[in-house]
Amino acid sequence: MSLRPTQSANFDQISAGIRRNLLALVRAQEQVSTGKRILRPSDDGVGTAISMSLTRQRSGVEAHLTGVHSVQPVMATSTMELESASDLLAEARSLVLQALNGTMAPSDRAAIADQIDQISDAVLEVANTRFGDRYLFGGTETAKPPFVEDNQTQESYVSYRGNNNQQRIRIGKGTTVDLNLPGNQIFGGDQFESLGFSGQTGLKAGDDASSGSGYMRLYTRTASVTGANVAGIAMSTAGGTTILGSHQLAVDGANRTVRLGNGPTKQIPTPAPNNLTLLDGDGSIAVIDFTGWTGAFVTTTLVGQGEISTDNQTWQPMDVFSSNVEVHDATTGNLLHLNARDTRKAGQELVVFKGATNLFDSLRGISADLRAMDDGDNTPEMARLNLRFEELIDGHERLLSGLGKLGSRHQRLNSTESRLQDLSTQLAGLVSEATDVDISQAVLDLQQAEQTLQLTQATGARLMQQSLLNYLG
Amino acid sequence: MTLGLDIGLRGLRAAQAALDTVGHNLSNANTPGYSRQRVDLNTSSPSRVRGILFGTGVETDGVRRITDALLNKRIRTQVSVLSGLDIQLQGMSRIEELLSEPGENGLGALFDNFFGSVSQLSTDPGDQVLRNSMVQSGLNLTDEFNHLSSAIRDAEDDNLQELQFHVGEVNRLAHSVRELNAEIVQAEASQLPANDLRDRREQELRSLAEQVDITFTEQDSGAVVVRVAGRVLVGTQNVQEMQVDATQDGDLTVRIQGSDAEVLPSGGQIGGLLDFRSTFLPKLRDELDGLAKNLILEVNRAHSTGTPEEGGFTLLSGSEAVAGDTQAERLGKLLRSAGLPFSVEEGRLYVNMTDMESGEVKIEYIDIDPDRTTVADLLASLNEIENMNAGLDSLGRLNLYSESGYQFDFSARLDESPNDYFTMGGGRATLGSSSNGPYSLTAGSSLSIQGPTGSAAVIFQASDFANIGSATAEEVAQVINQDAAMIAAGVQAHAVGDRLVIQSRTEGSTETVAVQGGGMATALGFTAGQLATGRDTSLQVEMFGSYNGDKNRTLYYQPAGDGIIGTTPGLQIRVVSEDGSPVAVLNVGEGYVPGTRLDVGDGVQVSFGYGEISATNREVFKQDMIADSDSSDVLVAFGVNSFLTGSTASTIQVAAEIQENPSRLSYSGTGSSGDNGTLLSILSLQDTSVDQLGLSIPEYYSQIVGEVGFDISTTESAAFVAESLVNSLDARREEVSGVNTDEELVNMVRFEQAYSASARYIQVIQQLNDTILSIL
Repeated sequence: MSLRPTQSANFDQISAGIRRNLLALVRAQEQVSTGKRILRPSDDGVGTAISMSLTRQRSGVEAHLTGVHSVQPVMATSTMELESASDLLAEARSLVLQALNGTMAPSDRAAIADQIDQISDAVLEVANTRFGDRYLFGGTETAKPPFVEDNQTQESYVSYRGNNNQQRIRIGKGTTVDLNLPGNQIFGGDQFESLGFSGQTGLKAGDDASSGSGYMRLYTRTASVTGANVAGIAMSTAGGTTILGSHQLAVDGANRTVRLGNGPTKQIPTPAPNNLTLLDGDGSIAVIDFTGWTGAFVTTTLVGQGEISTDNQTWQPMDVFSSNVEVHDATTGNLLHLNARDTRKAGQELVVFKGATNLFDSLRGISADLRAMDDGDNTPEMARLNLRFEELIDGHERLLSGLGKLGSRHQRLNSTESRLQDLSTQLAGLVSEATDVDISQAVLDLQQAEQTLQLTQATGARLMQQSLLNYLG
Repeated sequence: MTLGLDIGLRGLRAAQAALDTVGHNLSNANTPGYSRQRVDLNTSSPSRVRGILFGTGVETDGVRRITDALLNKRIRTQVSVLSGLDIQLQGMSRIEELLSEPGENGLGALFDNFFGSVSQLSTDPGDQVLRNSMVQSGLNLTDEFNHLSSAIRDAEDDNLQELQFHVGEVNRLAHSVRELNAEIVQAEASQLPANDLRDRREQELRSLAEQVDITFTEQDSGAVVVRVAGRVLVGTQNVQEMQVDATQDGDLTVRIQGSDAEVLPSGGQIGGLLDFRSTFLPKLRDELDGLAKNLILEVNRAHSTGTPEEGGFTLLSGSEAVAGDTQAERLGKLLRSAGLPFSVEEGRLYVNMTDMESGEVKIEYIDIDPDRTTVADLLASLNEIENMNAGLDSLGRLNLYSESGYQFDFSARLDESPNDYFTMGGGRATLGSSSNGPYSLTAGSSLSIQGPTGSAAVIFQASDFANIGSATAEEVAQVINQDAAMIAAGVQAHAVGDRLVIQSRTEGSTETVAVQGGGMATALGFTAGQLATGRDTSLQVEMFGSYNGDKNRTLYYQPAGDGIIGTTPGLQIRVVSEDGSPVAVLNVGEGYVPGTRLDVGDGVQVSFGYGEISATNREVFKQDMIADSDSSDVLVAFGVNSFLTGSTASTIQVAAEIQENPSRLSYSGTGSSGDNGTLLSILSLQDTSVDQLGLSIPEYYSQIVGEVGFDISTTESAAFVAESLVNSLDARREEVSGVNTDEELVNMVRFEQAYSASARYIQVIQQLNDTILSIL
């Protein structure tokens, strides 16, 4: 069929052409004015899904970044507070060192004790630091103070009420960072390592293992002495005997002297007393009744059998030849197995579950011991002080290592922050790449659309005017 | 002479007719559907005069329409396709606008905001402002779901109205076609050409094709019979009207009078609307519903096992009701078919009961099999837990409350003292079985035990067991513990996981328990004569850390030798999993300091205090390592402690009690106030793929949006193709049937001249006449 154009077809074509080109112009203009290539999903379905996914990743990164920002002050507060606690402990160490080295007047010791008490309270305050409403050192138990004073058997203890868990925040897919350190890992040991003895009685760790925490005060006393009833001598009923285990007693009838073990030789007065106190080289005492003595030579072995107590009130027998005496403190649950074979004298012993004492107990123990010292013989107190000082040093180191852990976490957070910032920028670039228009290309498109439209209009206008009518007279 | 006048007259008439047609053509040049007409000229029949044939001039045969029927048919088909696509595109674009993606107001951005606020809260879960903001952003998210869902429903309503309108149009056009049919038949019967009537009918048929795809056949009479999807719409005599019926639940049927059968047009606006309604909308709705459902499921999985600020619950009510008219009917239902929106899986629910005064936590569990556990069974198991009460309210919803002084929760806690019954290293004399249950027992057979205060034999009855042939340790323990003689003999039993353990009821080194015999001793894994002695100290076992494995496990701790913790050289405790495979070997002999933590793996540590343990007596304790404290999803199914309620995009909501009181937000995964386990689980939904979707929840949404975009652009390009086809066909039609004004003008001049010529000819004849007449 030959081509047979008609005016009406021509008009339709012109108007369709203008419509089409105008639409292209509007789209190009829209792209230029919004700067976006994808304005609605139908512009590019796949591109939309990709850009949405990228936007989501970016807002995820932003959320993690906000998270990091909001916990950074928490970390900073934790480390700052622990640093101040560390300074306090350093001061406490130098004070205790002073007390251990110098010969001090009781009033000076009391002054040191006061300072130690203040330090203890200040450290307790640090341990109960809050950021906003939450306690920082209670693990995930943030609503209650983690360290509280407990009264057990009239003695005040500080015990940990937090838990062993750590607060975490999410810093990426499947990646979390721990925020805090449970307080018991900073201020109190939670891992019993070995037993320490102040060494006053010669008690040692027994055959079987022990379990428990903190300090344990042990009291031993002489329950009975065998081997004394020879040649009219006997143990005095007045008491005061502290020997445990076997001690040689040698009475020199010729010189009227008596000697206990490797202690000093003592003159037996006349008349022979009923309570002559004899001192062994190891410091143990035997009080002997000489009233029935007729002046004979005596060489005998006194064997002191003992009793042991954790509270100086209820006593249990202690076989001094046993290497596995079991002592159980029902209140604390501590269980000790002791070797009593080397004990020589009765007295007080301080036992520490090394690695499982908290700083507060050490500090309080120190001030109590300082106050307990008097002008007389302070050996047991000094021995205890030494033991507690060691624990204080250990505790301080634990705190420093906690500080180090927190510090490295803080650092990790900081590096995470910069990584996340980089990632966010990178994703922003990708999102822009996926949805944004290449502006120079868009302007070019716009110009092209404009030109095409103008061309269509111009040619249309010319064509529309063509008609035979123009020439028919 | 007369002949000449006749010829002239004919010429005038013919030129007049041609000019009339030119005028008709010119004035209808822009009438849609108009086909140009042409006068058919012919020489009139010659007349014989004196034996010679003379021409008698011109004659108009008639006026003819220039059309191409085949072309018109193709145009109609394409018009149907185009208008169908166009109307679908309109609907899709409306939905596309509603999604407002990509942008800051779409569901995608709201997802981001929600997860952002969860992440923010996780950094300080106790903060009330952040908690409120999480609830608020949750509300924004659910509101948008509701909004989209109702917009889809609105689109369905609009679609129905449009359909009704277009069906009305079809019927109007059908009547018009029938009337035109009648006029054409009448006109053509009397040999009158019905050109313009046919053009109008052609135009009406095209309009009809725009509404719905039609086929028609023309009868000899000139009438057309129009069919839609094979069914007659316009017959020779009358019209069978089209009608659309909507049922209550939105199902549509299009029918044509005279038959109940559904008509399924595939093209035209009606076809397009039906297609949009039956494919695009339901697909989008199903996808959004699936998204909402999975969001609810996953968020609630995390939230239902979490704990709020108060640490636990004293009262919880479910939001979903068990289907049924009577309480008895509801109670009898299996969980699989209880009519709950989320399905219950085979699994285990852990329940923690906290004694508020002592802080002691008891961890219990319930095993659930949806194909065997009925609602009543579930309630019974819950009520069996000490201090717990469970029931259904009058609407069939689950109600849980604890007795005063107790709180309960469902969090995945690590049992810190798993050696509950001191079945390892305890003060009571303890004898463990050598094998795990179930045990094959025989009815009427016995087990006799010598306890500290006497000896007793228990006789097993079939009625005591679900299946005596495979009796569980739990069941055997229960039988022994309820036996009066056993109680009198001072004997009790425990099920340590699947293992049976027999103990003295009292502690101390003077207590003994011995298996004397009985028919079932061997079956239960004991040897006659086996004897265990109690101790004065009990072994303290403590667990630390939190389990970070990904599935629930039960670990059995059993001594590898006899001895004293921290003392006996080489003493070990073996840790094996429920299937017997080794997990860890713990050195607790000489050199082990009691209380030291030992790694069991997966973030869990264990410490043993001082004590004596015995492999000879098969001492054992177990530890449940809980990754998912409700692997049965029973809490989600009953809507207990939900963050989101509902089950579809239209019903999704933030739970009312959390909206009212944001402190009900169960952010903690372990019951402690600073934990954010629940929040971290919710956060992981951002980028963890969900089983049912195969993608993460936000990713799935992007996919939906991408598909909508893809659907639209596909339809758009199909419409573009159809439109250019229609345009080119229309152009072809114009070529055939259109009026070219220049052509007409040329014709006008031509016939004007012909007219003048004929007139001149008549004048000449008249002069001839005058000449003759003047002679006379």
